[in-house]
Amino acid sequence: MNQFITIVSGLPRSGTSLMMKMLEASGMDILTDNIRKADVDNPKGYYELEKVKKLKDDSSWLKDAQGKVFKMISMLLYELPPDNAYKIIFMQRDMAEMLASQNKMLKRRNQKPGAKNDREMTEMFEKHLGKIYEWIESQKEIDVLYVNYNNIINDPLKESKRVIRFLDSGLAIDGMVSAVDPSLYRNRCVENSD
Amino acid sequence: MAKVKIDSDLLARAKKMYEAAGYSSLEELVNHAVEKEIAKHETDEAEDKVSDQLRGLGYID
Repeated sequence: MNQFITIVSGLPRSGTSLMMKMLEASGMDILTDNIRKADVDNPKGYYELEKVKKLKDDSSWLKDAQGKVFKMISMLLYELPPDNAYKIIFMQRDMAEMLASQNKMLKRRNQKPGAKNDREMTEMFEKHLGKIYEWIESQKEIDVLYVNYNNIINDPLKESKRVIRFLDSGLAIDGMVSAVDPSLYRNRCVENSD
Repeated sequence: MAKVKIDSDLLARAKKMYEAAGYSSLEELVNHAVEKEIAKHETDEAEDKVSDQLRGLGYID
């Protein structure tokens, strides 16, 4: 079993659920509680784990997470205790697409955005990402691979190979590639210009 | 170049230490201190707004 914990991270709607689905299809053990059910925003499921939100209070479960993967939003990465080795697959995506998708989701949830408009939210996310990238680089127990969602859609085989090389494991590449469903690529900017 | 008034005791302390702290001039020290404080404020503001967005999306409590 791998002596490290794998984490899929990134901003919401950056493709973290897609990466979890790819890893599951490749044969990797995933940690999810299925509390947040699949819906119109994530028809294939969220792959979330509620206890990551409480990691600051209880990290005891991490000892059983070695060799497995779970999903954790980038803002929560600061809570990772330094006494484990982590491999983080950090998802990136075109910011306009991500925001368009988040705005739809906020509307469906009847929630207000965090900033007054997309331009301000983009600026806030870019500052957040700059800080978290810097923090990740400074953590000696963390290895990171940045994977672009748009690149996965365009060339799933190439990106799957990168992931398998990074995890240095015998995961099934065929399963990983077949988990990519381009029909879910619904939030292109042009589709959200309304 | 704009002028800003600061407390004379603070100015005296800054004049005493700027070279030892590695600054080539008092102006460089003041610019760096102000820049650092603004960056910190901007980062805090960004983290607050990102947190609000994540909360709205249901990713954090």
